[in-house]
Amino acid sequence: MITKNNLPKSYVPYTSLTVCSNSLLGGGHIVSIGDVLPIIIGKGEKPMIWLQALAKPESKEFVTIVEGSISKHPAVKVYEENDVLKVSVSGTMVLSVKTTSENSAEVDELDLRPLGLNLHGDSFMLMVGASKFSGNSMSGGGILIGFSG
Amino acid sequence: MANKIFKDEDLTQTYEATDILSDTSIGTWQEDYPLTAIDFDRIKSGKPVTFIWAHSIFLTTVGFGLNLVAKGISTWANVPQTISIGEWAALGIGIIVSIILYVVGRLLPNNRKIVMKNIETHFEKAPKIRQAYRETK
Repeated sequence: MITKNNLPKSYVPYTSLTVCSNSLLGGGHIVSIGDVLPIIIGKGEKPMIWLQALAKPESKEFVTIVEGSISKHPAVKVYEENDVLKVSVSGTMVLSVKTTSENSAEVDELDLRPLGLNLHGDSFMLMVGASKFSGNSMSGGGILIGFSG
Repeated sequence: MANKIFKDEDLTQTYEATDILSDTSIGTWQEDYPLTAIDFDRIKSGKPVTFIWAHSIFLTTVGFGLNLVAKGISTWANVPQTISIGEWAALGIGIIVSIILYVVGRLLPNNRKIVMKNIETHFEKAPKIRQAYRETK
C-alpha cells in the first residue's frame, strides 16, 4: 500500500497541483485515509498517477489499481486524449489530469466514488462528502483532506 | 453530516472529513433459490386440477346449503318452508363429490408441492451471512 511513509520511488511531486480549482503548493496530496494515500499525482513526461481503491471499508484495505499511470486492473483504463491523461473505471471517468507547465498540473475531473470514497469534483469545485472546496490554496506539502477513521 | 464550504481560503490544516467513506450498509445475505422456468411453471400450474374442481364444487355446495339454512330459519319463525328430499340429496352429492375430488387430488402427483417443499428446504438449510456492502449511487 502507498502511504505517507511509503511513497513510490518514481514519484516526483509537482510544485503546484491544482485539484478542482484548489491549489496544492509544494508537493501536497489530495486525500489520505489513515496513512494511506489513495491518489498520488507526480511529475513525468506525462503525469504519473497512482490510484488505490478501497477494497474493505471495515479494515481500510486498499488495492492498487493504477501504478505509475499503468492500469493494474482490467476494468481500469488509463489513456491520453488531447494531452490530457484520463483514468476511467468501468466506463466512469475517475480522473483527468493535464500538465500546465513543467512543474504544475491541473485536475479538472475527479470522481473517486467508484473507488469507495465520497470525493468528486470538476474544474470549479471539489465535493468531499457534503463539504465543498473551491479556489482554496494549501502550501507546504500538506494533505488537503484527511480521514483518520 | 458535515456540510462546510471552503472558498478562496488559504488552508493550513488538513480538513478532517468524517463522511468520506462511501455509505456502507449491513445486510443479510443468503444464497438464492435457483428457480428454473420449469419450477416456475410447476408453481403456477402444477397443482392437480381436481383440487380446483373440488374447491369450486365445495363452495357452490356451501352456497346451496345456506339457501337451505334460510328455509330452516323461516320455518323456525313460523313461516313454514318445506325442504324437499331432492334438495337434501343435492347437498349430499355436492359434499361427497368435492370430498372425492379432493382425495383424488391428494393421490395425484402434486408438482407444485414438491417445488415449494424444495424451496422451503433450501432456505432452511442455506447459511445466512451478514456483510457490509457499498451502496452504489
